[in-house]
Amino acid sequence: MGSGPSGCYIAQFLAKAWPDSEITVFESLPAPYGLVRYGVAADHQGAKAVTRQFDRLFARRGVRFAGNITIGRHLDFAQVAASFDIVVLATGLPDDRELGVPCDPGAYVVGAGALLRTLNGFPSPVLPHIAAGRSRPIGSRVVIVGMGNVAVDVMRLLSKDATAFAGSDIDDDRLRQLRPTPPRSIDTVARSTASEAKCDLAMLRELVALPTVDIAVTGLDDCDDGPVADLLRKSAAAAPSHRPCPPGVRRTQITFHFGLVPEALLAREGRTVLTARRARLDQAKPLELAADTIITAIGFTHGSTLDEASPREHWDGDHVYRVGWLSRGARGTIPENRKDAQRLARTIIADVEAERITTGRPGFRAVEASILHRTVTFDDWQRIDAFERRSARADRCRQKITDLGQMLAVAGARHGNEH
Amino acid sequence: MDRITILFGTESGNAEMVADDLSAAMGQGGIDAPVVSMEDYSVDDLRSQDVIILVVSTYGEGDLPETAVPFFQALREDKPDLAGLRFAAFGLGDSTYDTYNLGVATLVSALTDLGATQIGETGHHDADSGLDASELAVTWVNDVLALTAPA
Repeated sequence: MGSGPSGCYIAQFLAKAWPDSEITVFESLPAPYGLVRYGVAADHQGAKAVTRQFDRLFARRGVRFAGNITIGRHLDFAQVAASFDIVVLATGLPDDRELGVPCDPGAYVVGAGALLRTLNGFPSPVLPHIAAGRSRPIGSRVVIVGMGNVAVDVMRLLSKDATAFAGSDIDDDRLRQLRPTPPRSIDTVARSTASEAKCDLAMLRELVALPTVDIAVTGLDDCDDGPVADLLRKSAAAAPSHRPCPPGVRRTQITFHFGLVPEALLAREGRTVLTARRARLDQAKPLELAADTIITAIGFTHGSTLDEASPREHWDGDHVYRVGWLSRGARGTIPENRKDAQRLARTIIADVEAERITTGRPGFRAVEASILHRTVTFDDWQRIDAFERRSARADRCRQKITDLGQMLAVAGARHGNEH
Repeated sequence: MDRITILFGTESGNAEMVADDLSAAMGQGGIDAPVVSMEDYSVDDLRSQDVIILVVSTYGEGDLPETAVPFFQALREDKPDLAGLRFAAFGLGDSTYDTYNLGVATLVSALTDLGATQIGETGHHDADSGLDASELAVTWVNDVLALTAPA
C-alpha cells in the first residue's frame, strides 16, 4: 500500500527474490511514486531518476500498479488482508509536524511539505488560497524553522532566480503565484548548534553557491566546528557582491540563526512574528523575527485521524508489515529507505520460509471486480506520463497535470466521469 | 571472452539497475555476465578473473556507497596482486553536487594501484542530465568490449 520509494523498493526486492510472485502496489493517486514525484524538489531531477528503476519494476510480469485506489475508502483493509498473503503498509508520513508553540489565529504558517507538494504540482490544493485557484504569495520576508534537508530545499527553491529552473518540472504557475519575486530575506531558525545541523553538506553547498543569495549567520560560536559551521563561516565572510548577479535579479539575504528556540507565533500588523530565545543565553527578552510567512520544516507526521485512508493501529496481523517513514519515522533519504526495504524483504522471506505466515490467498483477483471501474493501471499512468512530458515547455522536463479529473481523462476513457 | 562478472555498488539501486541491464545486453551478445553486489564479493576471487566490469555510484561527500566500502577496504588491506586483471568502470553521479562521480574514481585508482589494467575510459552518467543511465552504459560497454576483442 503506497507507491512511494519505500513501497516500490519493497516490491522490487520481493519481485527479485520471488520472480514468480504476484505483487500489487496500491496507490491513492492516479500517478505513482509518492514522495519522489511530489516531495523531492523539482530542481533535483537526479534524485527523481530512481523512478526509472520503478518503471522497470512495473514492466515485470507479475507486478501490477493499481492507482486511484485508496485502501480504507475504495477497499476495506480487512478485504485486502484477507485477499493477499503479504501486506506491506508503505504510506509514509504525509503531514508536516507542527511547531507546538502558542500560535495566534491570524499567524500565517505553512508546512514545508505542503509548500514542496504545491511547487511539485500536487493535484489538490494544499496551501491556503486567496482567491479561486490562486495561492497566497509568501511575501518578501520569510522565516523558516528547521535546518534539515527539507529546510534547505525550501531556501533554495524560494531564492533561486526564475531562470534557474531549466530542466526541472517545477509548477511554474504556482511558483509565480507563491513567489512573484524571490523574498528579500529568509531567516532560518534552528534549535541546534551549527555542529549539530541535520542537513547534508552537499545540499548546503549547492544553496550557498547560488549567485543570487547572500549569507549571514548568528549563534555561531568559535567552539562550533564541523563542515556546516566552516562552510557558513566562509560564506558569511564573503562580500555580498563578490558573485556576479544579472541586473534586475532580486537577491535574497539568507540568515541562519543557530541555537534559537521558538516560543510563540504572534499576528501583528498583518505580519507574523516568531518569538524565540537563545538556548545558550538567559535573556530576559525574546528575540523577534517578523515575516510575511513562517514555514515550518521540522519533520513529518501521520495524517489526520479523521482521514479514513490513514493506516489504523488495527491494520495489523501476522502477515502485515510496515516499511519506510511509516515504520521508522521521517528520517533519512531515499537510499536509507531502500536499505529499510531490503531489511524488511529479508524478514518477510524468512517468515515465509519458516512458515510463520501461511500463503495461498487468492490475491488481486479477489478484489478486482469491486475496483476495476476506477483502477488506473500502469499503462494508463504511462499515458499520463507521456502527456505530461509532451506538454512541458522547452526548458522543463515535465508539466504535471494538477487536476485529478484531467489526470483520469488522460489515463483512459473508462475512468471518465467517475469522479 | 565468454564470461565477464559485473560488480556493482549502489545506494539508491540505480547502479544495480545499470548492472542488470548491462548483463542483459551482453547476454544478447553471447557473453555470460553474472551480476554480483560488491558486498557479496570476495576480493580473493579477483585473481581468477580475466575481465570484470565495475558499476558504482557516489554517495555523501564523494564517498563510495556503503555496500562498496568493505570491497574497497579489502583491496587496500589485502593488496592482492591484480597484474592479470583487466577491468572497465562505469560511474553514476549527479553533477548538481561538486562531488560528482568521485566514487568510481576511487575504485579505479585502487584497482590500478594493485596492477590491474583499465580497458577504455571510465564511463560516467550524470543523473541531472535526464539521460537514461542504462542506455548510456550499454553504448559505453559496446565500445569497451570492442577493445577487448582479439585483433
